[in-house]
Amino acid sequence: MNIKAINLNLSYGSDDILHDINLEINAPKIYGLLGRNGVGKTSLLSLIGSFREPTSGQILINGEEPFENARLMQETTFMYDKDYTGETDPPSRILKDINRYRPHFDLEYGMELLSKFKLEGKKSIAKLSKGKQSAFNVVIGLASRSPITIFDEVYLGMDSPARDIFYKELLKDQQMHPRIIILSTHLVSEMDYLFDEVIILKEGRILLKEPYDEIVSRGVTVTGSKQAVDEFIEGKEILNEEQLGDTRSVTIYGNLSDAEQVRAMEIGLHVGPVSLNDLFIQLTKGEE
Amino acid sequence: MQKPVSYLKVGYDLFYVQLTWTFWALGIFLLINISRLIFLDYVDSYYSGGYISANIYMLVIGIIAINFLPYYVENGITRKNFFLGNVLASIGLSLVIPILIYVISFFEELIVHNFTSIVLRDHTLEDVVEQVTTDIDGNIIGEIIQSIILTPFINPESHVVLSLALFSLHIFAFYIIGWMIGAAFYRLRLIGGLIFIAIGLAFILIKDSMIRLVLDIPLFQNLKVLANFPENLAFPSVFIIILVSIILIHFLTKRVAIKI
Repeated sequence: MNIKAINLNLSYGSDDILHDINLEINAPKIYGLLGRNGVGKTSLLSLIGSFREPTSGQILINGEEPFENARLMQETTFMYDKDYTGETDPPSRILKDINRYRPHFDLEYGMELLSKFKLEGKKSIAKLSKGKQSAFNVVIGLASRSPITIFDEVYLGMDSPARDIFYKELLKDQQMHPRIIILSTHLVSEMDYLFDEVIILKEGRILLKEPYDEIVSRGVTVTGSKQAVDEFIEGKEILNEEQLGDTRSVTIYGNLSDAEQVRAMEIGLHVGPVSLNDLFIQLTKGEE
Repeated sequence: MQKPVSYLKVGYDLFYVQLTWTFWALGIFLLINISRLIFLDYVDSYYSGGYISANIYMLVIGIIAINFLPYYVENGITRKNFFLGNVLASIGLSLVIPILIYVISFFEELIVHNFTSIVLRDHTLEDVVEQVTTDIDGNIIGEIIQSIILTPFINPESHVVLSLALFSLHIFAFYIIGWMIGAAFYRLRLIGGLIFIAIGLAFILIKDSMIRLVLDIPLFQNLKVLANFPENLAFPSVFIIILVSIILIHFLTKRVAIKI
């Protein structure tokens, strides 16, 4: 599958949400979509999921517009933080119904996930806690096995053990059934290891789209004695600082030259990678 | 890529779900009818009572039908296939409900006649329709309410097929008009929705008057102008109103954004 956005714009009335988005997603990998609140993550994902149409520009899946395209719409699953108020069926019943519509749906896997997330009871989904409802959204998204699967913040209500099950299942199932998975999240430091590629939105525009490894090499963490670190980082852009006793750890933006790396080693500093979260905070600063 | 889900499958599923609701509704109507039989001496037959309740029931489930749309789009079904499917489902419901009510009524009458001395009034509804028309003349609110609850009636004993067909036509029109109002609220929010309530009520009044013309039942005073309407066009006009409503639903929903 291939997703392509060409000069994509979206406005709600006079409110401009997305500006001139150009983006291409080709490989069946896990993409992390990051951005501050209100930058248009959900809007962009709704366009891919055919929930709405762009104001101008195009969104193409395999070269065709997905909106109202029956063949393409069935290949895309867009899970969001859904409100189940008024729903009377238990999770297992809902899965059976979805199985009627989703061409790649694996009902057996879905049922297995229900028991992993302890959702196999007869209680209606509306009566379950917010966290369980979120877990159910995760189950639908995984069991649908759609070539394009989008999770828009569905895991927010889940407790950490449940999220951990989700991450493990996601990686395991992705290995067996590779597909394009887009995860939009605020839980950056918790989920960064899942991402093959990272897309950051800022003020309705794509700020960057890079493989995870490349993006985290945009900065380094230097750890060592307070004095040595302070000396070494002079004049550099600091993303984050932490200190424990005499040990100081500073995250700086930008790469170190070979000479700087050698010098760091000489003065006994440990040089490590930067966390995606620190970079994310730095890159999306100044939006308020 | 696999063949997409057809509107026939969507239609079947929507019919099944709404039929399940209908069984509940008919069951509740029956309980009310039975309790009236226990406490009152003269009771309308289940058919006469159902004729009134089904109109309101179909209007209500029509209004909430738009809530199925997000579910289907989420599951990869196009708006168009949902639209076509639900038109089929509503036709199916409109055909099945009168038959179900007729059959239940038939058995109820059989039991009541053989085992009790209660008198079931069946013919009264026709009289009521005419009677109320003269009673509320000139009161537009009363006329609208009557158009919704007391639609023109043909006694099943005089002509069963015609009676059932008219019943189906009424409830189908109510469902479609309800669906149109629901779709307008979903797409156009409050103001647009309110405008469509007005359009819907106008459609109900016109539909009701056209059938009155066909059945030779007096028109409401406020709608007396319609008396000059060519009688041979009255019946086709009912279908035109339904068709216009269906087309409006299509335009309201065909490119609608799913709210999340």
